[in-house]
Amino acid sequence: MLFLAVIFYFFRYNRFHLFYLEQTQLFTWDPRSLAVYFTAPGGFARLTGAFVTQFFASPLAAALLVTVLIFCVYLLSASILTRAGMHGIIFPMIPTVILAGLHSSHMYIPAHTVAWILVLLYVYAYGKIHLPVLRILFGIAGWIVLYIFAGFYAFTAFFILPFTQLHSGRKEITGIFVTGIVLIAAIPMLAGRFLFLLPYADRWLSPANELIHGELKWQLWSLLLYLPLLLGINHIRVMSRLINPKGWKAWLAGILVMAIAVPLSVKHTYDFRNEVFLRIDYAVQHEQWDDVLKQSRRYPGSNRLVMYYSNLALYKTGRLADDFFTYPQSGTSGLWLSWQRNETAPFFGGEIFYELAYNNEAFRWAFEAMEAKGPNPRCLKRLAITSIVNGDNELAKKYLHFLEETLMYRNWARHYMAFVNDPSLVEKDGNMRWRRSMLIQHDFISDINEYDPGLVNLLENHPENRMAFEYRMLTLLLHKDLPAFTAQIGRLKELGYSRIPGLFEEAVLLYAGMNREFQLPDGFVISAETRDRFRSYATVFTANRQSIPLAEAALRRNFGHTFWYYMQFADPTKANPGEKL
Amino acid sequence: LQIQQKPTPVKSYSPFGLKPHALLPGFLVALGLFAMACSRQHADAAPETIRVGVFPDYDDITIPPNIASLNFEVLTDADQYEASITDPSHHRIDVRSRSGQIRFPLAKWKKMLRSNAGNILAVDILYKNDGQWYRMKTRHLRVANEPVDPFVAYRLIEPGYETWNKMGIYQRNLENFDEEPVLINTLSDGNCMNCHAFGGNSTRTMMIHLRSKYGGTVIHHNDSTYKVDTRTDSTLSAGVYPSWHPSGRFVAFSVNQIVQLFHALPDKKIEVVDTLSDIILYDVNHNLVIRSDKLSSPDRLETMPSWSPDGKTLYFCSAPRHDFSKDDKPKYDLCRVSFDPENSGFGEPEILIAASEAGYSTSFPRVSPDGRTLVFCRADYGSFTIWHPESDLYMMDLNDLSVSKADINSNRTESYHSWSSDGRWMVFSSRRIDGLYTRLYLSYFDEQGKWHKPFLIPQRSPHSNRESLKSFNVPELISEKIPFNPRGLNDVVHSAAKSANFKHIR
Repeated sequence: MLFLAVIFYFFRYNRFHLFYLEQTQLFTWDPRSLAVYFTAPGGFARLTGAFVTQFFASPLAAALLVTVLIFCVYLLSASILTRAGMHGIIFPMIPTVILAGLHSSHMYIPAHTVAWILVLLYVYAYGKIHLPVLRILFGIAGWIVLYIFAGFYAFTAFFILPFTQLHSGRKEITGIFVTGIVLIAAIPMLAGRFLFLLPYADRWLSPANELIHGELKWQLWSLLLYLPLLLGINHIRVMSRLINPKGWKAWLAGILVMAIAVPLSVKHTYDFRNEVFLRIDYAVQHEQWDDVLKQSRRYPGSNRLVMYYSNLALYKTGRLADDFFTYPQSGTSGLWLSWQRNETAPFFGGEIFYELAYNNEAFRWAFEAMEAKGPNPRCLKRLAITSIVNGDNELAKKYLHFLEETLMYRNWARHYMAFVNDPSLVEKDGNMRWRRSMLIQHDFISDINEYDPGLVNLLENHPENRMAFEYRMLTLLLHKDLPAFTAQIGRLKELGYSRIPGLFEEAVLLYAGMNREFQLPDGFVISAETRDRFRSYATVFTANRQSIPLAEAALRRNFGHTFWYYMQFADPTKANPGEKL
Repeated sequence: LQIQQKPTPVKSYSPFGLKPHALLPGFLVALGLFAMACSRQHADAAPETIRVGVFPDYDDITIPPNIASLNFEVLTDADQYEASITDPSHHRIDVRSRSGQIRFPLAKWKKMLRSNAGNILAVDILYKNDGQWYRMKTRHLRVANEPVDPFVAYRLIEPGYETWNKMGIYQRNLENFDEEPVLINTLSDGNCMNCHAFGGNSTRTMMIHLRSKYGGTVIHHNDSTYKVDTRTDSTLSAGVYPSWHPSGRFVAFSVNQIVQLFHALPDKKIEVVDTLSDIILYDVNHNLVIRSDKLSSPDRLETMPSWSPDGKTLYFCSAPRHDFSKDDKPKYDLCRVSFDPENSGFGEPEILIAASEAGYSTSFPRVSPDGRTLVFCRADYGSFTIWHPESDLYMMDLNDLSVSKADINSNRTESYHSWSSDGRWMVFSSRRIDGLYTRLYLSYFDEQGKWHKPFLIPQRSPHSNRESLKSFNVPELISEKIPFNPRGLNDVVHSAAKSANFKHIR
């Protein structure tokens, strides 16, 4: 039951950040890629973790695999505790609860759990060896291997081992303690000298370096110290009686412990906002634009990444110029992301350039993201497609080859390899043909700023680029540049618009009111509904004109999502809400 | 092969009534025939009907007698592959493969090359499909008499834009496939490093420049290694593009203010532009940065310094200041200036190629060790031609200053180049495989001043040159191994850089 409950928890509430983990790493059987894992302690754990993570592309597989990892910890913890005389399911349940919490964060990768399993296996195996000489040999040699396989986590073995061997007498415990200190000091030092090219700290802390300095450090330390502390407390007779109740007391204690541990763990690790954002990201990757908009509504607070994606979805569903202000906005900073040299901006921010058919920039952001995060399927796919579109088939082949070596993207890679092997196929594929047709003919330099991420140049190259047009028009509106906006409104017809979109109507109406010489483009009219609303807006404003704050408050409810309200009350220089992930 | 036959103590069964040792000659003959049958390369093999390629292209090239085996990959799906390399004396190395990767055994390869300097070797390749063997066109390798310097140093980095991750300076033994790191940035907080330079192909005088955290120039000279900071209040930046004076006492550096721009056209990606640049002289013995007015004109951009082998002339590139954002694409002249090491003084600069007349831009001048030939990059504009697909290698005869195109270019970027210590070989980086990732090519420059077809520096795994996501930057041929590794240099890298003093001369 519990197993199924954990699967359900991960499947229902964590699938999207697990998908994100899969998207940010790449597992292939290529020997050079595999060798990279072993350039630092904990290589085997990282390798196994990466192997497991590749299946997170499937939500069910992700939930199942995380649950299996957690239950491995449960079983091993239970075995170790049982040997120390601590029976029941509550004690080994605690680390699984902590682990479930850790796995609820996108900053925690399965490699850490694998490393922890290796440590528990080592402790368990050590206890199984009865011959003293063999035990010593295994204790030392096994630990060295454990260090290479699990890195930093291997140190915790020496905190657990003495407590599991209390029955063996003081001599062995002292031996374990002394050996532990010597090995912990010497082996990483020697490994750094002969095996790994790493800074001093990483010889001891890899692969947990970021984790023990990050937001999850307390949860991690709880996990690592739980077993030695519990075993130590259990050794104190008075405490042992207290923590090992019998009968109904045991049940009550168990329920109490779980009632406290589960919410505590979830509260401190599960990030609802991130899960919603990563669900939006998932929907963008799968072109589920309606879901993007639905999830944007669920997102609590404001986040530039969410705005950026929801605006993209608004465009893809044909609603950008109608419903823009019905979603949280922050000027043009919600239309595209600023360039930043970090892991977040390039990874998510390249999407708009791909959709705009700004091929070189889409390639660049994918390339930068791969530099920041390492090879990953999303970037490699983007690099491959943009290379094919650019006609760089040899380059595309390089990226496709990487994907061909994976389990999950082999078929995708083979599909696109066909375009490389037979370039004429590009003309037979609608999407690729369109992208090729939108290639830039007249060079310009990328200059992503608050006013323009290249839209003007894209439109100069391809006036028919409807997305660039709509984003450009919105940019002008957001900068309250009505003369420039209305100068372009005549292009609606050639771009295939059958009516003037709502926000554009509002802007045109306002401008026409200010400039009586303005003429609507042929074949377009302002709808009666918009005219009526404008009259209502003007009436409410006139009634409250003596006080701007009063007018703003009076108009916000019914007109807060109109361009008129934005024009009159919003400050386009307002600080952007940040890009939190 | 030596087989020692021990006397048989007991009588054993033997067919045809023969004793076992009597079978040995027959066995050896049979083995020989079998081997010949195999290595005769299937006399019944049909000539290939479709021209199958191999990667890398190692046909009709001139190779040094000390190069590692030229492993390659046959670019067709087949059940079996065989390749042999034969010298004029009919000695042969045979290789079989099921994957299409042909890897010659290194020891046999080296032995064959050693004994065939000046000869032509024939490479025969066969593949088998549906029971039928096909014979490919015979390839030919000419073994030169002159060995190449045994090591090449380069930076390995993803050919990125603004973000970088792991990078390092590596040295590769060209006589085998050993590649060792000299310095890697995982030990120095992920900082940027490049601009390694050697005094006349020797590692006894060398430098590596580091940026960001732990920034400075690591200098190894006169058996001591230390880090200096060549930034001064009177110069634009720390030293960027370096060239060691043959005496080992000076390094000519450009100092630059550099910006990166990104193109939108499909065949262009990056533009690296100097907004300001000068050339300075760093006196290693006196830890002194010298700025001469001759090489730091306020209305010009001087860059890419390179010494002549006698140290009496400094070659460099120079362009008027410009504003790239206004579509003002600069073309760089190729210039030279005389130098007097005694007083560290420069003469009057002389323009060798006037860009305005020539209609193109020059960069990366490098003079051959005999001082007769200068090889430079030619591009439509700019100085950092590494990102220009049209960048080609050109050479200037320094006797009559005539310019000709080196017959080693492709339709993609050819850029950074380095002469061997005897001037018979040149390594250069090229993006010819895929347009983005630079790979190293080696070309023979014969006594008649003719370039021979360049070839890709071989790798143990032949396809790694196509699949690796790293680029090879700034290849420098060196005559001995760099006596450092990242652990050995770690203390120097982490030490405080010694600040250079400054001197201004007219």
